[in-house]
Amino acid sequence: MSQQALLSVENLSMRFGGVVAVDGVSFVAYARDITAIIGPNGAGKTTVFNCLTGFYRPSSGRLVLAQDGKTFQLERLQGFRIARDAGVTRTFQNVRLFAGMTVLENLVVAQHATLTRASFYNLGGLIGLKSYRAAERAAIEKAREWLDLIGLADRADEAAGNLPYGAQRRLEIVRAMCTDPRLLCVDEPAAGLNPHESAELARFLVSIRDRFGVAILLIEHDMSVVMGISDHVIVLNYGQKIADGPPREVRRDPAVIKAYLGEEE
Amino acid sequence: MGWAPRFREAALAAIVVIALAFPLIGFETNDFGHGFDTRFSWVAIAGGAAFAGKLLLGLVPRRFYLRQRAARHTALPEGKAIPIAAAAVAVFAVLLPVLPFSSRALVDLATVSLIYIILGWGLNIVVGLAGLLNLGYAAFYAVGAYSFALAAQWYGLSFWEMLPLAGLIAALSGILLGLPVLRLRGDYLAIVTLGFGEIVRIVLNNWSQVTGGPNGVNDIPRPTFLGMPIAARAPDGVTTFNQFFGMPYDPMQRVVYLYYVCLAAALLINWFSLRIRRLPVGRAWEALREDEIACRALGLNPTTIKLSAFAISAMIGGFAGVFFAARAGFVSPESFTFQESATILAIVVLGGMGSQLGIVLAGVVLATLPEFGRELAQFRMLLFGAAMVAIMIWRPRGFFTVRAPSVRLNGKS
Amino acid sequence: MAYFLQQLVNGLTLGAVYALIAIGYTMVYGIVGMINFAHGEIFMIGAFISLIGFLVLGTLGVTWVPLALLLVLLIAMAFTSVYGWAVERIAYRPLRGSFRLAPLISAIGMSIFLQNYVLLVQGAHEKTLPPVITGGFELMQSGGFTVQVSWLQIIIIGMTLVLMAGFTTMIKASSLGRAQRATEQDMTMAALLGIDVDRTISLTFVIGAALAAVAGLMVTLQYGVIDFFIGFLAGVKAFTAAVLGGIGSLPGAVLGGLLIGLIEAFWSGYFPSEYKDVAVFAVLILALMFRPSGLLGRPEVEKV
Repeated sequence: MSQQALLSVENLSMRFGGVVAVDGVSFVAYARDITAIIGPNGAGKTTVFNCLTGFYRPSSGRLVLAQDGKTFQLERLQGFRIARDAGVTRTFQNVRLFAGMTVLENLVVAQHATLTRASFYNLGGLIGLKSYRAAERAAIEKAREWLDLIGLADRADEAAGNLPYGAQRRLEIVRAMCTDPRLLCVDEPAAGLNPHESAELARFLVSIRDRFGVAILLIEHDMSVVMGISDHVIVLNYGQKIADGPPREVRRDPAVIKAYLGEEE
Repeated sequence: MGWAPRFREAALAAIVVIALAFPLIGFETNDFGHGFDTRFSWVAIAGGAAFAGKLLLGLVPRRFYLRQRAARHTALPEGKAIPIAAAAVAVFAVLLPVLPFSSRALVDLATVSLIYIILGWGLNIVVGLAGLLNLGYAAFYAVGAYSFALAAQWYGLSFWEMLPLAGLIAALSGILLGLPVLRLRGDYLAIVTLGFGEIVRIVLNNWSQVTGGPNGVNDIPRPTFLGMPIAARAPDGVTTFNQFFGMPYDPMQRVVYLYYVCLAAALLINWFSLRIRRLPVGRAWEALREDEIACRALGLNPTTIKLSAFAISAMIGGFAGVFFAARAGFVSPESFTFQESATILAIVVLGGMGSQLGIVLAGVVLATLPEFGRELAQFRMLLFGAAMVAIMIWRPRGFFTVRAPSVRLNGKS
Repeated sequence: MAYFLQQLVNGLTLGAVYALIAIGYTMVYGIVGMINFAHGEIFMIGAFISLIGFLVLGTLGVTWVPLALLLVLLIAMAFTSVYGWAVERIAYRPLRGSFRLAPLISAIGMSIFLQNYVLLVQGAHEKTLPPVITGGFELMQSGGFTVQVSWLQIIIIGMTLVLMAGFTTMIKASSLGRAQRATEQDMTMAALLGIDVDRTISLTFVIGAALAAVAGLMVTLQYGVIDFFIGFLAGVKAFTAAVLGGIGSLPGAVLGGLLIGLIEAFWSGYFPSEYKDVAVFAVLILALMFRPSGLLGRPEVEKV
């Protein structure tokens, strides 16, 4: 477990009108770590995610991503730039695949930035430039490797929307990985999966982290997944951070227990 | 279902139709004076037809008209059928002028069809691929046509000189339209594009000093063959095509030449449309149509994607405008109304959003329908409106239903 | 000053008509989230039915104005409502849950169909009606210009306000209103709670159509001449009004309608009137660019 800080969330607050969804939350996610954000419903987990990935503009606070000498202030970046420049991609609670496009096409679209450069902003591609064709082949090859990893290579030419739910979830994660992210944000990946599928998914996330060195930030309700694979757990309740540490510590923290189970009568 | 409920439903349908028909079909206002005639027999016929129709429809097994629900996301393998059909159509198109039944009127009609097809392909980029509903497409058509007409009138520019320029100007106007609508959702975007189309038409109609107002612009030059006009006579110092090749002038030659110019352009645009689906921008358009939020989350820039869709589709519309102006020899605002935009949309919708061949078919049908008689021409738009509703209900993805993937992992690529 | 007041009166009258049509747009958008593109044609149909109603009543010997007016009002509202109901039933209901653009394209097709239907059955020529309600009074004189207000204008503005007040109360207090608001919030949940969602939606369309019919009647009386094409422009402008006021908000629709009417009247009064429609479209574009939720609407937060 590396101690190099990748993402520093400093005093993040998010207000919607009169409602304070996130209230002065600070934490650090380390490189190559799997960091989990947990908490009861309404604690503000998805709001934090949305702030990190550019769907909300934070009311206050800083979100600093630093790696390889480069620093990004996420709260100042325009939505899509967070993925493209800072390398922070995400999956969604309700899977958002390009349902009418094929499995393969979903993964090729994810490599848009690379392919656009290789095609000289599409002009080279139009005239059939060799370097673009090579880049496209490379992109397809990369997609094939990922598909082999999740066992969907033989369904590559099917419409993504026709896949079973579990396969769609895995595909969405893989699609995010095709952007070569620094930080992968996964929003409730185990939702709707049975225990067997959840365990497989958990193993899958760990294998991604091990092979590609990407840091993973995870929102999850399934405690077996959270406790099983996280290096570091952050607990939110009513928009505030109430615990922060390795899984076994957090599990025993009285504040956490109270938040989930309520006071002893 | 028993017969009693069937009769009840049919009776209800008949009553509704009679209620609908009674005020507007039952009474026909006179054009002059304040009188009217009654046509109650028509109302009765309508009611009877509704009754019978509903009864018969209830007898047809459901599966024949069941909505295309099951195949919501189909990306079926591309069979051999479509490329063969496309090739056959292309060959027929090339040979058309020399076929035995060909005539000047037929070739001219074919040119009109080609212009509509080009417009359909152009609109398809923004509606079918990018999923942005543009209801003011005639504006770009007009920009292309008027740019050419005015440049010819004021600066003496020729067809070939203006073709790329008009396309460029149209593309810029596409970006101009795209900018305000970047953050708008489907319905709102559609209405704003409609407004834009109307603004262009109103300006063209009223800014008489520049655009000639309702009278438009005349004397638009025809395309030349390598600098040589196809005409009976030419201004001093200019050799005509006929003089050069020693052929007597025949108006048919001009018509055929323009037809081949349009055909070449159409084939080029078709190649371009197919090709661009395989490029990053084309895939980005389709991804945007599927889910814009996911696009942003993957680092795709929705602004550039939308603007490029508007610009390229506008450019194609501009080209079509130049062809239109060259064919007619004059332009006026009444060719670029919302009716026109709706017609082009109908071509795209009926042909199947995303299907090149479908749009060819729809374009040909639309262009040739008025030729089959005056009454049919009046019915044309009525039928198209009804067809648009019907297609959305039964086959939302058009008659050519499947979407061919732009790239395959397994099987041919 | 007097000229200004005249434009004001004219603008409010025009605005009242737009308001009546705009209510239909806003109610439908609120409940099913789509623009009823065919609504403008419903208004046009209301105008035609009103005109025909007057002609028929005239032939039947009904000439006492208040009675004729009442009868035509009821007739127009009744028959136009059937059209509104039929449009929803045929073109929109089957598409609930379909992909995003489907209802809009279907609506456009329906609009084209209705326009050409009236064109075919009534002819392309414009239709006229001799003035039914005449007379008015002078409001004031200033600088040699007399401000004239007609009884008809008073009736139009008054009727709109009465209808708006009535419907706002109905939405707040009645069970239909509650059902509408529930369906607006969450259709599935409303259905699960026993609300007849189909009927609620149908009624919404019917009410919108009835109001559009009133607008059609007003236009027939005010201008005395109609043709099959009036629905298109009126429809777009009324939609602009609904957006300006805040889509989904009934008072917003009325406010927006009055504003658009005023903008159009003042533009015609002081600037080249050929471009008055451009002015309205420009308002639409600016409103959607800078304040898409309108004046009285609530800003929508993007759901991720």
